[in-house]
Amino acid sequence: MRRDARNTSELLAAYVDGVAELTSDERKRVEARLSDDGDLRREADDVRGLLGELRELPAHPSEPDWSALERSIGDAVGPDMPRSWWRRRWRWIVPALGVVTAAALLALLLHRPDTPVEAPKLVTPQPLAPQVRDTVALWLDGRAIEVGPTTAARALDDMDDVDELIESDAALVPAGGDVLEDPGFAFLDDLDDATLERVRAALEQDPPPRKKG
Amino acid sequence: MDVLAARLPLFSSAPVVSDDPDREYAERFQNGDRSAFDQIVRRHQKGMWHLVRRYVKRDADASDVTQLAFVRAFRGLASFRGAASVRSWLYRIAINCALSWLRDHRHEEPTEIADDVLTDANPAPARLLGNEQGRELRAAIEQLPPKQRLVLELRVFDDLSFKEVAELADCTENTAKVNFHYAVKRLRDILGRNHHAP
Repeated sequence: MRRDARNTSELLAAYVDGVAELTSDERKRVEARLSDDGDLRREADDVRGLLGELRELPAHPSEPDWSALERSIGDAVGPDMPRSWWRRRWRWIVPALGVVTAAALLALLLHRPDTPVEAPKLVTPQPLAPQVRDTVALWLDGRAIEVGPTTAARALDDMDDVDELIESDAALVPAGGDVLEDPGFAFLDDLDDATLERVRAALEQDPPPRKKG
Repeated sequence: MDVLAARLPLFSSAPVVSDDPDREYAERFQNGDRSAFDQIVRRHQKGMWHLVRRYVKRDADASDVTQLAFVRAFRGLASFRGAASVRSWLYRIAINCALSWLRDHRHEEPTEIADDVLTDANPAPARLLGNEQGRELRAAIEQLPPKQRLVLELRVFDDLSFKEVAELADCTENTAKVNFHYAVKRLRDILGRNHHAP
């Protein structure tokens, strides 16, 4: 109810100044309030008086020469009907498009490679480097003997075992360069005769010193 | 921005204003009658000049801005679809031109002050308010919030309908009416609650 009253009073100035511009519902609501509310009637009178004063305020007395202003507007717009923007600017658009197209073509021509394209060089494939495996060289009796890491570790832990390995020729590397993994001496059965022969020859040529028992 | 405002009706789906007295001139112009634009200028140059003059503080500047607004309108009238009245469309262009002009000249000091309209050198007609009272009213209007001031001035000084005021103030018609009420109420407060017309 209070909100309705507020809405109605908010239309008071519009009612006073232009009742015809209110909807019939708005007009009825304002008139109902006015008939009940003396303060609102006095406010309506005040509003009417103030709006009257405002409308009597002088406009700017130093008005321009209206005929001169009309002529200047006529001169500014010209005698012809306005054309759409692209028609007004086609004299510039067409040459501009031509210049842009020519520039693009020129750029394409200038940037064309003038030296023949060289065929890609064929690279001869290099043989792959031999795969390096983890090996350890033990210096035994003035000779480097490659052994597997497990064998080396065990040898470092117990030199007596190393001596036994040497004596049993178990960890000697064959002349072909293959590294023998520590097989736990079972590999002796798998060694071929040629390998055994090469080991034997090497030991005979430079026999390791025998331990003094 | 001004061009966009001039072309705004193109994008509007609002119904055409059927009771617009300027509609005939707009249609004649769109059908190729160049002289119809002269009629529009004759009918609205005064209102547009006074509207612009409230924004810019020099008469000559107001004339320049009014001319610019008509040039914009001339270019845009061919695509005017009548979603708003021709007058409010023109006034919108004029307001945009005036605001644009103010932005471009905001560092310039005006040589004429708006209050010069009430000086002795420009005596008002006898029926009009006395200088002091008029000055007081104008000073009170200057203190209104921008939206309320715009609505009040368009309604009182430019005699626009609330519908046209709403179009120019970019709000609904009902909001324009409520803003008008609060503008008048605020004005009465500024002038004193016991303010009465003589």
